[in-house]
Amino acid sequence: MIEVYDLNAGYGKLHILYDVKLKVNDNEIVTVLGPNGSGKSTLLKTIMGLTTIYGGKIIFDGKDVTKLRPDEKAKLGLAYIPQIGNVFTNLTVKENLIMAGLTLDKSEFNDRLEYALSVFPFLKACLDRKVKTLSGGERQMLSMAMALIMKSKFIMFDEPTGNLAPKIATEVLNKIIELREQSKLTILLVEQAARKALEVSDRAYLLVSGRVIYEGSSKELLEHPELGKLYLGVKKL
Amino acid sequence: MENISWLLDIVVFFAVYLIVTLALNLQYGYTGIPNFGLALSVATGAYTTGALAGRIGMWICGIRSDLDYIMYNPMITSMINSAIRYDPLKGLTIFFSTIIIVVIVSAIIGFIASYPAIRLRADYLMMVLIAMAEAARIIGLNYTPLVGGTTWVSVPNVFIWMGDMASQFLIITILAISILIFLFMQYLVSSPYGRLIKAVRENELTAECVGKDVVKVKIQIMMLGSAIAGIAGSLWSFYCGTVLAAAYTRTDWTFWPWLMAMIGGMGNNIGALVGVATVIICRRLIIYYKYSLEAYIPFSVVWLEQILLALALILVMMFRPQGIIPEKPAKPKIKKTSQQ
Amino acid sequence: MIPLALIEDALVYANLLLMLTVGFTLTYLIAKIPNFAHGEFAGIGVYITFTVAQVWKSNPYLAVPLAFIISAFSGALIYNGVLRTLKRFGGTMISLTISTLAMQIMISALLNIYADYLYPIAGAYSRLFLFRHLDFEFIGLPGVLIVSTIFLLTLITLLHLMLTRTRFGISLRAVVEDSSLASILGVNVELACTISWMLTAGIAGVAGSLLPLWFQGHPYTGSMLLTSVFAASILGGLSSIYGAMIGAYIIGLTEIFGTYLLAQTFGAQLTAYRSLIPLTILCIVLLIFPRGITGLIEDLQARRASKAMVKIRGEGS
Repeated sequence: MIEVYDLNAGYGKLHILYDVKLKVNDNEIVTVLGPNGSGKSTLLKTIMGLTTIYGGKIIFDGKDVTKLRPDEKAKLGLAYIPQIGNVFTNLTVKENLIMAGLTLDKSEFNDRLEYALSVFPFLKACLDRKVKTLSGGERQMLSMAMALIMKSKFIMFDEPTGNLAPKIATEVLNKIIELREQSKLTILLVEQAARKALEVSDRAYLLVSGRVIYEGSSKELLEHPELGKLYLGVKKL
Repeated sequence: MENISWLLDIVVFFAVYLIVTLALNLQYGYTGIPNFGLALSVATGAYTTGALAGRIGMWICGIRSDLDYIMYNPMITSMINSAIRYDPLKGLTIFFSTIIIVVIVSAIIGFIASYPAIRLRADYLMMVLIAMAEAARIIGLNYTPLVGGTTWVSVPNVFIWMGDMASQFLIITILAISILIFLFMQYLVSSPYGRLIKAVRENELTAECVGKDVVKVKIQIMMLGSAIAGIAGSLWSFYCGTVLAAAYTRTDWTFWPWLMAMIGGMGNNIGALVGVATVIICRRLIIYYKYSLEAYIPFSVVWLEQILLALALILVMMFRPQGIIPEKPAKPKIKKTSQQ
Repeated sequence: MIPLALIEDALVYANLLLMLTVGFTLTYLIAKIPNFAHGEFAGIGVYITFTVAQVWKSNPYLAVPLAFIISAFSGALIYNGVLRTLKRFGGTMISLTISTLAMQIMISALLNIYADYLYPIAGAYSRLFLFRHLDFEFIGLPGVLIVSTIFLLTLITLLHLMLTRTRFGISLRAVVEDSSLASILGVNVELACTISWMLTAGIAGVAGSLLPLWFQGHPYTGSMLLTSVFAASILGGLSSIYGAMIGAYIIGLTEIFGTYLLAQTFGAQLTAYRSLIPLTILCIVLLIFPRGITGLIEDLQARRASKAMVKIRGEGS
């Protein structure tokens, strides 16, 4: 579904990603792992179009989308849930959900809204409350609800378990698997919690200092004895 | 003689605007405080000069103090000029005492104008300062006892004792003062205080964390910059021989200096020098060819200058925001250790 | 006994100031910079009325829709031609603000050129004019007061409905808070910004077009209003359009009544110092409550919320 070749990108003059090559097939869950500062978030942001691209291509569904604006990509079915700044705190819960469903038409939005509220029933009570009155965990749930509403074929999650309690983190990751099963979505997942991420994904990439140093099946990586050292970039494959 | 007076004219323009631009460079280029109310400080210097130089002259020369200074201003001024015609000491006293008072008053005005917004975001500061500069003009235009309101006051010819060379001597003095201020600025920015203000510009939070009182530094810089710009206003008044309240517009004394500082290069004094020279030469050319230009353009050259000013500002920001002479990053002095 | 004329003065002025301030605050929220050229959109409106009334000898109210269109167009031009281009070349907040100042200078110069150009054609004082005599009267009140009030109320209602009920309005508020997230969700941020610039410029143009029907019009009308707009905006709180409305009315009424009171007490020459009133209020606001009225209300709500929290926790334990 999505392919990235020779991607070089960064912020202004700050070069972060070097010759990144990545591929996610239809209906897969792929995870990108790596230590802090390796460029995982930058990779997702670059695919979405929020950074400066120095070179390379992004192909989505056969189309070259490298030069498109984020909103154009969203309309094509590419979605991105950032790690922070993923909800509008000054808007109400309902308004946030409306924003999530911006690219949908009215009836489809109502259906998805119902579904999202059935998955996260606590939201029904806070529909008219401003998001800044919600707790961190509640906001994370809201952003998951928004992901359920978005009209997308391909969603990128940036550390969705972020600062959540382990029990809720597991719930969130299970929801992501559900998304793949029920809505036939393709998912690219960036995670710090490497083990959990590898358990739910099909394939994985390891990104260290802006370069892909490993690509393979998640199961293999989980069982790799030197996973820890690889992860920190100390050992090269 | 004709050519030299044309040249000396440019020299005065250059010197006075250099002082203003150095003040701006100090406030924005080095400390990062955007001052769009520069005209306030310049006007303060000018109005103080207009209001006080003559009155000081009256006092020193023992001229009848029962006369209203504003109403009888032309007469009073010529009386002062006669009194100091052969008395250099009195002339110089008027000159320097006015300047000292101008420095004090401008610094105080700089404090008052910046105090409300100095702790707040730059946006607030910009709005307040522009509004203050406008207010100064309105006060100057309407409060007649200050500088005659919509008429003007004359300023004593403090170098009249030089005879024919009076005006040239004044110009040279102004140039000398501007050079002194330039040297002072150079000294200031290479001193520890200079490093402090650059630190404030780069990262206020960090500067505060290492214990520097950022607000105090900013206020000091606003006061110092205002005082320097005030000197410029004062010198300009002495040169013109009159103070006309309406002349201290924000276009002339805020925006043109901004363009000069930006074209030359913010954050370094040599840049200020280059910028002032460049802009003044261009403006002089426009005025010189005014008549030929007016044949081609269907409107007054005054508006053309303003349009060019606006365009120049935008183009500089788009294509050469660092100016002709960009600021050099500071090279830390590394002590040679035994390992090297 | 307050003269009726003074009340009319105050209301018309406050109405026009409200239109300008709402636009200024909205632009500030969207662009994150103060638009120093905002007053000039009103200046454009002023001269469109002059053209319509004096050159075409038509009913001055025809100038209103024309002013909206031309000012809106100018707003779009400035946003896309100058600000977006500058951003693409790596503009900082300061340089974007400077560019609005540059636009203020340019538009002001253009208005002056236009005024000079009209002088021989219009045969009237193109640099200073007043069209009260061309206005209509209704139930004893001047037409401009009625029209401006109706326009105002419609504007406030439509604006509120748009921002809270329509997808565009919610998108706009989303862009104000986090333009990157809005973009990810499918909002064409640049288009939204352009539309809101057009809206605010157009409203300012309408305010300017109504102005000469009561107050004197001249090329510097726009820039002279700016101090009051700043004061009104900051008094209301730069974070809220509703605050802007309250701030504008307070400043507008205070300016007119204040000047009157000062003139009565100290003499008529004090009317020239009129703009010192909003400036003084501005300084007081910055010194005491810089976040404006909106900030005060938010603080009050926060205090109430935390008191409620303490109560809940107290009950829990």
